[in-house]
Amino acid sequence: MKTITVSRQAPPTYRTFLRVLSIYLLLTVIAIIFLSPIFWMLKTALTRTGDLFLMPIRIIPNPMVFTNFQTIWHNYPFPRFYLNSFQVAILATIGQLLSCSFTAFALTNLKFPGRNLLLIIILGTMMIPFQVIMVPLFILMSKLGWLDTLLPLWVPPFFGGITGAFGIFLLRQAFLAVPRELIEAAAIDGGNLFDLYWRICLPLAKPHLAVLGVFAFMTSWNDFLGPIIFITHTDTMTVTGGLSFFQAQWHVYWSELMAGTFLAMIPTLIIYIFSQRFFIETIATTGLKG
Amino acid sequence: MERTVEISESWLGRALKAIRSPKMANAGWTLFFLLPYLIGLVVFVAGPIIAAFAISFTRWDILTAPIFIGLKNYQNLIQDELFWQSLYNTLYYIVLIVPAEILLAFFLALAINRSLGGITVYRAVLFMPFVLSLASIGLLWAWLYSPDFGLINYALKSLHLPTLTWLANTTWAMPAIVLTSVWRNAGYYMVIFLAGLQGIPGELYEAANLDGAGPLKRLWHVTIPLLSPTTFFILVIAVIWAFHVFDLTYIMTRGGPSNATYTMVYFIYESGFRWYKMGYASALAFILFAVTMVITIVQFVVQRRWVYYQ
Repeated sequence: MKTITVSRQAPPTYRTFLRVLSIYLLLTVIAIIFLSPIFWMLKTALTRTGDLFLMPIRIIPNPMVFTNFQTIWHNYPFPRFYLNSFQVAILATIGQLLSCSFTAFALTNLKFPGRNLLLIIILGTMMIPFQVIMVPLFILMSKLGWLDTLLPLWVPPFFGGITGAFGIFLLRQAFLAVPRELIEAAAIDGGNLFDLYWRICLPLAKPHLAVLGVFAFMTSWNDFLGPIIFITHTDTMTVTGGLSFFQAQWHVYWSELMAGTFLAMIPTLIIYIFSQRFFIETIATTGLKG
Repeated sequence: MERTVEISESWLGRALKAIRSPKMANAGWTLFFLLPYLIGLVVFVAGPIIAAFAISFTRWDILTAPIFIGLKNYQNLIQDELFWQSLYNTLYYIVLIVPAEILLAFFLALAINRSLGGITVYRAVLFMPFVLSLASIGLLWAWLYSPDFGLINYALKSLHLPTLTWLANTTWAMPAIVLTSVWRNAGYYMVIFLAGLQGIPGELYEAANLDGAGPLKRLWHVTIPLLSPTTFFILVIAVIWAFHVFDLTYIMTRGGPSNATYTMVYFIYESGFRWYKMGYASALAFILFAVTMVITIVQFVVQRRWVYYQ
C-alpha cells in the first residue's frame, strides 16, 4: 500500500500538495467519464419526447418532466414486470441462502464418505457455463409444464443449482471460523445437529449471509438469458426480459425507454449504495462471482 | 423360507437399533443437510450435462421424438458458414476486449491505490457499472451510440472529431460492444488488481527506492512481476466471460449488422430457441465448451513462463 505520508526528508511542500491535487483531478475526470452514461440516461428520461430531437442538443433538460416515467408505468406492463422480478429475486435469494448454508454446514461439521470428492465436484460446477445446459433445462422445464411460469427462475436456487458453488464456498469460510468450543458446548448440552446449525452457525455467519443475499438477489434480478428462454408471455416476464420486449415489439420513444431502463436499475443501485463496501471487499477476497 | 424371514427380522432389528445409535442419527442428519444440493446436482447440473451430450447426437425439434443421427450435427456445423462466422466474431471480440479490460483496470488500480480521503467513493463509482444488469446496460448504450442524438457522437462532435453510425456500421458495431463491456467490467477487475497490489510487501518498494529506482523502474521490476498471479487470474476469468458474450449482442444489435456481431452463444440461442434445432444447439454448446476449456488449459500451461510466484 503506497501511502502519501510526509517523510522526514521532505516537509509538506507546495509540491506534495500539487501531487495530491493532480491525483484527485485525474480520479475525478475518470469518475465523471464513468458516470456520464448514467447521466445521459437520466437526462433523456427527464426530457419531453418532442424536445429530444432539438438541435443543438441540450445537456440539461428544459423543461424537466416526469411524464416518461408515468407513461412507462401506466401504459406498459412495467408494474407487472417489476412484481415478477421481485418475486423471482426474493425467492431465489431465500433458496440460495438455505441450500448453500445447508451444504456448507454439512461440509464443515459432518463427516461423511466422499466429502472431499463433493468439494471437488462443487468446484467443478463453477466451470460449467449455463449455455451448455440451457437446452436440456428448457426441455426439462417444458416436460414439467413450467414454461411461461416463474418457477424455472426460482426453484433451481433452492437446490444449489449452477450458481450455488460461490455461496457454498463463502459460507464454508464462515462456518470454519466458528470456534470449536462453541460446537463442543452445543454437543454437551445435548442439542441435535439442527440446533447447532440454526442456533450457533447461522447467527455467527450473519455478515457472510448478508453478502450472499446481496449477491443472490442481484444475480437473479440481472438474469437475462433465463427469462428470455423460459418465458414468452408478457404477464410472466421479468424486468430485464421486458426491456428487450419494449425495444423489439413496441415503438417506444427513447425518452420512455431510458425511463424504463432507469427503473430497471433502481433496486440494484439502491442495494449497491448500501452494501458497496462489503460487496467490493468480498470480491477482492474471493474474486469470482458465481 | 423361514430362514429368510429370520434374516430380515434380525436385519430389521439391527437397523432399528442402529437408528437409535448416535452414529446413524448423524447419517440421517447428514443426508438431511446434503439432500437439497445433491438433488440439484443431479436434476439441474449433472443430468443436464449428460443430456446435452446425448442430445447433440440427435435431431430434435421438441415436438416430435428425437432421432439419433450420430456425428451429423458436428459435421453440419463444420460446413456451416454461420458457425465459422460466429467463431471468428467471438474470437475477434476476445482479442479486442481482454487486453483493453486488463490494461484499463491495471491503470485504474494504480491510480486509485492510495490512502487519500474519499478514495472509497471513487472506488465505488468505478465499480458501480458491474452491478447493473447487462440488459439495461445494453439498452442504455444503444442510445448512447445513436448516430444523431447519442452521447458518443455528441462528445466526438464537441472535440471536432468525425462521427460514426456505430451499431449500424459493420466495422464499428463490435468495437462499440467491446467499449460497453469494458465500461462494465473495468471496475470489477480493478478491485481484484487492488487486492493484489495490497499484497505486495512494502519493503520491496523501500529497497527499490534505496537502489535509486524511479517510479517507472519500480513499476516494471516490482509491481508487474509481483502482480502476475493476479493478472493471470483476471486473464483466465476475462477470457471465459468473453466467450459467453450474449446479452449485449442480443439487446444492442441482434447479431447484426449483417452478422458482424453474431457470436457463438447467440448462435446457440437462435438454433435452440428460434429454430428449435435442439441437437444442433447442443452440439454447438459443446464445441464452445471444448474451445473454452482448451484455451483455459493452454493458459495454465503457458503461465509457468510468465507468472512469478514468491
